[in-house]
Amino acid sequence: MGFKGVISVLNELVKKGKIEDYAIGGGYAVMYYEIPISTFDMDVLVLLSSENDFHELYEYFRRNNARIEDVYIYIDEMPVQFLPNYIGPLFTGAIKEAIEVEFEGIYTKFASIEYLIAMLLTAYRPKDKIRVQSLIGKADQSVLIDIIQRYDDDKRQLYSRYKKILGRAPEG
Amino acid sequence: MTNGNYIQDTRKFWEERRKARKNLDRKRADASYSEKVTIAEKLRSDMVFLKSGRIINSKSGCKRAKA
Repeated sequence: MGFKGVISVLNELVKKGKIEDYAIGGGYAVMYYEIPISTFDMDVLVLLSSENDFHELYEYFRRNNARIEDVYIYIDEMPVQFLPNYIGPLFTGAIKEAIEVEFEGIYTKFASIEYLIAMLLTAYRPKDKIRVQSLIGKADQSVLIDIIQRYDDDKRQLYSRYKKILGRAPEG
Repeated sequence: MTNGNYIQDTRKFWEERRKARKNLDRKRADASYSEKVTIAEKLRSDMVFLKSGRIINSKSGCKRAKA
């Protein structure tokens, strides 16, 4: 089961109205774009209409006797972390502009490479920088710059990080 | 959801997740050899499965090579 089992459950959540929509992000999305990495858990961005719906989502799994540890809900033995869109507009965009992929008749959604890079530039931990370097050649640079400009802060931090990754600006 | 509904205390949200991630990483590091083998096999199988995906639509113009 594993990944296949998880995406079936995610689709069921949409069908049951527990979430409005979703997109897989994090390490599994990086792996989908053919970057070999070692990841154990799955990050799922979820579109919800209110913060209360996020608590309801955990309640739903609790009622169904799911194993929950810290923020992780275990689905098919895989720790899944739900990241609600109300954390920031970038998440909302990543879900709404996600790519739809079919696996053996099961449909799922992944954050696009460009949104994935923008989210990695936001987190910007050492492993995120490595992942951005691996992904950047596969991204549509004009789409990526457009996303960065749309979601950047006043200090243009995302754009500055993007330039640093490209090696066009000195590390500060 | 309008911009007004985005939570302000994102630092607390991410801090909680950083701690959870640390716990998960520790648990993974402390796993027995056989558990680590199982995890590695599952990861390998997921990677193969992920390669079988077929893009149905792409709104932001993603250029994944094997699409």
